[in-house]
Amino acid sequence: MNAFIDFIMGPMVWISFLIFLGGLGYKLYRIIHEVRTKEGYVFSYLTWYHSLRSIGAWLIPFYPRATRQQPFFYGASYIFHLALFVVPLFLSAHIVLVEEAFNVSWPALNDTFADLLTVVIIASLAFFTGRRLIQPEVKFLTTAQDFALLFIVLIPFLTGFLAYHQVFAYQWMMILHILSGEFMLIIIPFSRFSHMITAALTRAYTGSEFGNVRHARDW
Amino acid sequence: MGEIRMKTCLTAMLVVLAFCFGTAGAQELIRMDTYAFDSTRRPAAVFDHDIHNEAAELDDCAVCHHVWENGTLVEDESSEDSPCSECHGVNPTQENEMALANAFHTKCRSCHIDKGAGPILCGQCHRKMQGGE
Ligand code: HEC
Ligand code: HEC
Ligand code: HEC
Ligand code: HEC
Ligand code: HEM
Repeated sequence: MNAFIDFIMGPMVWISFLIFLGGLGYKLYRIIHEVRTKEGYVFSYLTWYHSLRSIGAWLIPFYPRATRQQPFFYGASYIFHLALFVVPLFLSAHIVLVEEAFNVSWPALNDTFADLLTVVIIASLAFFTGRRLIQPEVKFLTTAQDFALLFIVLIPFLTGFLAYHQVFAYQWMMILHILSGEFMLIIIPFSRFSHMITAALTRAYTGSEFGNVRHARDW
Repeated sequence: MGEIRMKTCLTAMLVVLAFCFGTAGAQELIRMDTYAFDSTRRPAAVFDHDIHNEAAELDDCAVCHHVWENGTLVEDESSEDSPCSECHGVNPTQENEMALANAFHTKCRSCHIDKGAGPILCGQCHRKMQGGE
């Protein structure tokens, strides 16, 4: 069992990160290549200034008008995305593992605070699920895949939470946690999770078309 | 008839309960002394020195209580009179880049992985405190 756990905590982490980063890099290359061959005129008005301006505007909470029209949804979305990155990157347990592997470390969140943020993430996921089940205009556009993606994010956080509290079946909870975390990383480039890079491209395109062609704002 | 069955049931439940509390009380775990850390994030690690080393068949004290000089391990010398914290600071230093917690993790986990026995996950060493501990 130790050999298996060592494999998923060692080589498998490398494999997951390689697929995650390599996959995103390849995806970025493919998109740019495709736009260049099929719709090259986009580059005639694409500018760094208008792209970054639009990305920046959409990064400021409640600055774009659309976000103010749905304050509850966007509020949950902002908090969720922030915690989604902050918790795994600044969790003391994850830093302990990195320190053991590379002898480098960085400041960690207080464990109780990380625990609280984990509950916030789980609650946000419940809210997003409920919204897809109840709100008619969203329900209409929802497919099984949307629920599958929410579930894939839920599992590493739920199992991490249960493992941290050593509630039951600690070893199996940990194995499930590690495998589900790695699975989530691996499918990012091949699923809608790739919006972590494509969202910026959409803003660059829209921001440049609105800013540079129509001389309007897109937020 | 029904009353006898009821009594048997109750007695059985009491026996089970007594057994649970009995073993919970007996299950006192020997843990590490964490005095070297200013504050702790986790319950102290489970470690019963002599029982551990007997079970793991570790006769050579220097496997854990080692001595280093000028960046190299000194063979055939041991440091069992010093706690690890005498040389390993809570934070890494110029002379010793291996911080205390990392020294423990590296030492303990690497052997458990090599030997295929012993705990390697956080909660298997830093076991949650049970009531009464
Ligand atoms: C598996 C690793 C391991 C082995 C092997 C081992 N020890 Fe230890 N020993 C420890 C740890 C860990 C401590 C606690 C050190 C601390 O708190 O800094 C300790 C503490 C001690 C202490 C108390 C020292 C102090 O200052 O706290 C003595 C004495 C000691 N060991 C003697 C021995 C002797 C003698 C042997 C060989 C027969 C031996 N140990 C083998 C890990 C080991
Ligand atoms: C007499 C001083 C001294 C004591 C006592 C000591 N160490 Fe070390 N240890 C060192 C030095 C020096 C290094 C080298 C650090 C470096 O590379 O910067 C080292 C390195 C290590 C390393 C990394 C290299 C390796 O062997 O894997 C580990 C792990 C380690 N120590 C664990 C421990 C543990 C656990 C204890 C207590 C049981 C302990 N040390 C007690 C001085 C000491
Ligand atoms: C050189 C090898 C080695 C080192 C170093 C070592 N262990 Fe172990 N440990 C073992 C082996 C082998 C077992 C399995 C023993 C058995 O068969 O029960 C074990 C078992 C354990 C167990 C299970 C319960 C027990 O006592 O048998 C605990 C807890 C444990 N180790 C803690 C530690 C801690 C904490 C350290 C570091 C201070 C440490 N070990 C360092 C080899 C090692
Ligand atoms: C093989 C046993 C073992 C395993 C597995 C282990 N630790 Fe430890 N850890 C220790 C020992 C021994 C110490 C030093 C004494 C203590 O604090 O109990 C320690 C110290 C620490 C400390 C510093 C003291 C404190 O409580 O703040 C932290 C933090 C820590 N461990 C976190 C972790 C995390 C997170 C994991 C899992 C990624 C982990 N440990 C896995 C044995 C272990
Ligand atoms: C890549 C492989 C991963 C490994 C090896 C790993 C390892 C760990 C470990 C050892 C713990 C501590 C459990 C304990 O305290 O006993 C933990 C906790 C946790 N991990 Fe991971 N993890 C991985 C990926 C992830 C990912 C991808 C996420 C989330 C996206 C994540 C989120 C968490 C959370 C939320 C906790 C619990 C925090 C708390 O409730 O206090 N982990 N992880």
